[in-house]
Amino acid sequence: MKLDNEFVIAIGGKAGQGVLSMGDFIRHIVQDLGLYSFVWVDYPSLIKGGHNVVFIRVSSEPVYAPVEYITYLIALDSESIEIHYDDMVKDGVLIYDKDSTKQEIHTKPSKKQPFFGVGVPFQAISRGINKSPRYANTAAIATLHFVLGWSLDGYKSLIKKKFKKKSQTIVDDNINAIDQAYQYVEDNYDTIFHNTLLKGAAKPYYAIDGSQALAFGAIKAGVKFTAAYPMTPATPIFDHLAKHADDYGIIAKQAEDEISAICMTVGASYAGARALTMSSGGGFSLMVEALGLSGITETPLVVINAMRGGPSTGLPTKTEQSDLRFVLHASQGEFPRVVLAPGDSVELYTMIQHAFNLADLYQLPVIVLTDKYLATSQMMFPQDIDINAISVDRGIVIKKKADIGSDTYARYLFTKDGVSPRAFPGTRGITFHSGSDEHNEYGEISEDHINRVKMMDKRMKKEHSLLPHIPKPEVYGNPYAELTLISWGSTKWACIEAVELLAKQDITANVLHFSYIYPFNIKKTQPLLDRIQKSVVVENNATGQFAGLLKQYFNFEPQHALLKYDGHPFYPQEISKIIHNTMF
Amino acid sequence: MKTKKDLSSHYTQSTPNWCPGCGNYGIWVSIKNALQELAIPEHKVVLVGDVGCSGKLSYWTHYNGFAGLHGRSIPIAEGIKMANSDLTVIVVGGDGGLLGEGLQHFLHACRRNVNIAVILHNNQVYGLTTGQTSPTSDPGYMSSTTPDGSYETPLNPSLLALTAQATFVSAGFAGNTTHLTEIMKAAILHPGFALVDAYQPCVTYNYINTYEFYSKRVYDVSTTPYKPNNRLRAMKKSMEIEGGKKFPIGILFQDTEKPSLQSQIQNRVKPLVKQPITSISVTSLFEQD
Repeated sequence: MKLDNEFVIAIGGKAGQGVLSMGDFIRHIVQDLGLYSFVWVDYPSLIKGGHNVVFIRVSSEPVYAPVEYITYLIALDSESIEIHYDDMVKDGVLIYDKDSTKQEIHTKPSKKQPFFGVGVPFQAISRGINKSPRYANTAAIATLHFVLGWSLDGYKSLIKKKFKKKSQTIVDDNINAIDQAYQYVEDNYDTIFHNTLLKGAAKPYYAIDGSQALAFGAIKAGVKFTAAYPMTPATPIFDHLAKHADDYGIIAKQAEDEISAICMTVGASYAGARALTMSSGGGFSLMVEALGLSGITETPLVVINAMRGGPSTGLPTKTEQSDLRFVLHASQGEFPRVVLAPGDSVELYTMIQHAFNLADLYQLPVIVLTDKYLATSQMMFPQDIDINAISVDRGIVIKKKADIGSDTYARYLFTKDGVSPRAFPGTRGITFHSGSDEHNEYGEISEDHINRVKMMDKRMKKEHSLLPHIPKPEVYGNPYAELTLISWGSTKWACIEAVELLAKQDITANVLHFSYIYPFNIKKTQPLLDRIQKSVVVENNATGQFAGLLKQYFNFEPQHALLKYDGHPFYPQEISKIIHNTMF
Repeated sequence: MKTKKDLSSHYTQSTPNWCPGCGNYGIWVSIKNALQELAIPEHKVVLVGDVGCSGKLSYWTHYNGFAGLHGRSIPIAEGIKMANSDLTVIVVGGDGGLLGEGLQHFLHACRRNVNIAVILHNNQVYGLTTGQTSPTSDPGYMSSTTPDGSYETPLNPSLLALTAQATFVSAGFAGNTTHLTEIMKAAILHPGFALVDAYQPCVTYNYINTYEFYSKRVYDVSTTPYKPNNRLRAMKKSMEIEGGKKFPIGILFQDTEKPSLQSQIQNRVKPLVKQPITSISVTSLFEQD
C-alpha cells in the first residue's frame, strides 16, 4: 500500500552500523521540511551485529502509529534486503551499497522485483575520502535525498550544526561524501522518482521518544531521587534522568539490583524526596515485596514498568502488554495502589506527573506501565501543548510540631478519607515510627484484631478517595458507532487510525481508550460501556488481560479480543483488516 | 564519657518484647547511650530496622524508626541518607537479614560508602523464627532446619566488609555496653559506611555462644599495640575469630580519607529534601534536540 500523502523510510543494518543515528538525522530533516514523522525501531538483544532497523513514517498529516510497509529502504547490509524484501511497496526504492550487496538488484521494477534499485558505492566513496567506511552512511542519506527529490541544503546545514564542534575536517569530509554520492546517482540513474512530499506545513512539534517523555515529566514533577538496575527497555528512562541529574539536582543511583533500587527509592521518599524507580517485568518481579512496603508504610512511590515480551527473560527487545494483571496484584496481602498506562508521548509526560501527585496525595504506590514500543518510539509532541500545565501537589505535610494539633504525632491517624497527615523525618519536635508490620495510629506494632480491621479499612479507603482524580476513558470518533475498539496503553493510536481505515470501508467505529487503569472509576466508565453495540478489545498479550478486567469490574464482555504477542506492536491496517474479515 | 543530659528519652511507653537476658538489651542500651552522649537531636535520627528480633529495636526508642523488610534495611537507609544527609541513619539488623537475605546490599554498601552506621546484631541464629542456622552459625550447629548439624563454614562479617572496601569496621560485645557505646559513637561519627559487628548472645537458642563464652574470649584491641589503619592487618585481625578462641573488639579498621558518597556529590547536587520543586522548567530539555 502506498498513500499519496505519506511514505515510510526504513534503514536496516547491523547493530553498531549507525542505523539509529541515521534515523535521527532523517527525522530531523523531515521535521525541518515541515512534515510529520513517527519513528519506531526494531532490534535484537545484542551489542554488535544482528539486524537493527529504524522506521520513519513521513506524512503531511499527523501520524502516531507504525505501519507494515516500506517505501524507501536504505540497506546497509544484504540481510536487510532479505528481511524487508516483501515489505517493500510496488514502485518503492531500495538504496543499497553497490559493492558489498550479495543479491542481484535491478534498477527498474519488474514482476519479480516490484521496486526500484539504486546501488551506490557508499563504502568506496567513504574510503576515497577518509580511508575508512565512516562516511558511508552520510553517502546513503545523500542518495535518499536524490531519490526523494529533496534539496541537500537542509542536510548539509544539519551536518554543520552537529559536527562543527568536533572538527571542520569532519564537516568537510561529510559534505564531500554527500556531494560525491549525489553526483554518482545523478550520473548513473535517470529514473525520476515520484515523491510529492517535498515539504509540508506541520504544526511545530517535538519528536521525543517515550523514555524522554517519562524522564522529562518526572523532572518536571520534581523527582529528586531515582535508583534502578539496568534492564531493557526501561534503562533509557534512567539514562535520561542521569544525564540531566546535575542540572536538576537529582541523585540517580545505579543500584546493585532491583530490590535495592526500590528500597532506596522507598527510603528517599520516606525522607521527603520525590523518588522514582523503574524496570521491566523481570526487575519488577524482584521489586514486589517492597511494593507492599510502600503500601503498608504509606510511603509514596512511583514505579515504571516498561514491559517487554515475557515470561522470564522472554523477548528482551520486543514489545508486549502482558504485565497488567501482574502489576495489579503484585506483592502479598492487600493494599491500595494506582496503575496508569499512558497511550502516547503527551500522556507519558503528563501522567507521570499525575503519578507523583497521586502518590503524594494518597501516600501509596503508583505503577506506570509502558512498553518497549512506546518507550522507544519517537512520537510527535505538539509544541502548542502547555508543558507547565500540571502543578506539583504534595498533599498534607506536617512542617512543624504546632501543625499536629495534639501532643503526640499520629503518623497513621484514622481519617475520613484514609489519608493521614504526613511528616518527614528531621522535622523539629516530631519523631515517629513507620514499619512493615501492621501498626496502630502511632506506627507501633499492633496485632490487635480491632485495630487491624480499622487500619486495613483506612488504607483501602484511599482507593475510593482518589477516584475524583481518575478521569473517564476517552472516546475517539463517533460516540454511537456500530463498533467500538477498546484499547489501553500503547495500543491507543493504532486503534484510532484503524477506525479511520474502517470508515473507508463503511464501517463506523470508535475507540474507547483507557490510560487510567486502576482503580477504575466505575461510575464514570459504566455508561460508556453500556452504550457499546459491538466491541473488540485490542491488546498486546495472549490472554486478554484487560478484557478480563472489564468482565470482572463492569460485567462487560467484548465480542472479540484481538490479541497479539509476537513481539511487535499493532499496525492500524492489521487491526482494520482483521475486524473487516472476522466481524463484518 | 557520660554527659549529664537528661536520659528520660531512654524510656518509651511500650517496652521491648525480647526474651529476658537477650543480647539485644545491651545493644539497645548502647545505641541509646551513644546517641545521647553525642547529643544528636531525636528528630534528626532514623533507626532503620531489618526484620527479626533486633529489627524492632527502633520501636522502643524515641527516635524516628523505619522498620523495613528482611534483608533490605541497608538500601532503605542508603535512600534516606541520600535524600537527607542531615539525618543520622543507623541500621539495626541481624546476621540473618544482613548476611543472608541481604548480603549483596551489605557488600555494596561497603564500597558505596554512604554515610550510615550498620549495627549487626550477630547472635549466630535466626531467633524470631525459632533458632534456625544462620550465615554465622558454627559448623555442627543443630537446629530444626539442620537436625544433623550445619555443614557450612560461617561468614566472617568484618573480613567481608574489609574485602568490600568498607572504611570503618569494628566489633563489640553486647555484654560490655560501656565499650560498645564508645564503638557506636565512633561508627556514627565516621564519615562513611561503618560496621559494628556486635556479638550478641541468644539466650533461648544458642547455648554455645553465651555471655560467658564471649566474656572469656573478647579483648579490646585498643589495649594492645594494634593500630586500625592498615587494611591487610585488619583482615588478619578479623580472622582471629575463626579459631573460636579470640574475639578482638574495638575499631579494627578506619579510613577517614576515602570520600563518602555524599561528599562526592554534594558540590553537584544540593540536599534533595531542601530543593524547591514547584516551578521547575523543562523547556530546555524539549528544545535541546
